[in-house]
Amino acid sequence: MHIADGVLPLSVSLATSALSVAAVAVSLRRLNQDELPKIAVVTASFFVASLIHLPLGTTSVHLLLPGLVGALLGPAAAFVSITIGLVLQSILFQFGGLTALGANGVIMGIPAILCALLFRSLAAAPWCSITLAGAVAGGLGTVLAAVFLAALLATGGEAFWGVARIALIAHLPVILIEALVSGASLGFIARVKPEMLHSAARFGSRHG
Amino acid sequence: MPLWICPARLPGPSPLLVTLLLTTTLLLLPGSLTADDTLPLSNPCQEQGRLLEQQAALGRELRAIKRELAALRAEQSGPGVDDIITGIGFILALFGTAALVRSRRPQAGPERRSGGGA
Repeated sequence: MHIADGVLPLSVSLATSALSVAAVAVSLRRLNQDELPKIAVVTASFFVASLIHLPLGTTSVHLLLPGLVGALLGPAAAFVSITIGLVLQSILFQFGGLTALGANGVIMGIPAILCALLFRSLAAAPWCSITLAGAVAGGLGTVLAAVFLAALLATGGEAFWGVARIALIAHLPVILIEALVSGASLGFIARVKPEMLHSAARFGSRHG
Repeated sequence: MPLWICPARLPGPSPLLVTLLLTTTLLLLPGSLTADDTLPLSNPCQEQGRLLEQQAALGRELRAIKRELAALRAEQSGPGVDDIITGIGFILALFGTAALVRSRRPQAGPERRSGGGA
């Protein structure tokens, strides 16, 4: 889910860029530096996941994984990871554009942060398994990304509900697959390497 | 048609008579205004046919080349293995540098000071 160059009005581009820069700064300041290798691996996965295309009629959609990134990295590191992935995607894959980078960072990064918070509170709840929490976070990440996309496009004069509906319908298979992928991977990680979820889940994270 | 111009220039007999005369002469002359008239044209026709055929063959080849070009372009427009490896390498290098910077920093300072390098 990317916005291309020149779609958004200049003011919105500037505002989202400023927001993204601020969020990256906060993210860099707050991330746990012991987790740099983990962040690197998750960022690389996010970067590559966009190449997994699902054919959908004449068009195709690709995996986004903001939910999984948020759930794995926690709210502090999620935004910087997403931004680095987006920068490289726009340079190497021609996804989105450099001037729309701020907007795309908001579209993908803020859902990642929200999913991280959601995953953390769900995983801390005794009634909720890690797999279920991961599935909910993974699915919701894409839903939120579609909603943010629609909201930003609405500033350019599009009708919010129209865009949101199209984006959500087009990404319905992605939402399902991401929920499955995120749930399965997080459940698997919780079984074989639970310490990897320390910063993200209930195991006493250092940062809010 | 020169037939209509010539009589007007001629002095003397009426143009109609001259016209009739000329027409009969032309009709009687061998190889003029008869079915034989198509014979000399048949060679250019063959030539034209040959050219058209050649053109069609060239068109076919050109279409094939265009198809190939489009396929090549479609293949090139998508990100290749190079791009993917470049990106992953870039990410790992970025975080590796950040980790290096961090590891060189004296441990006495608070860990939460701004993230290194990235």
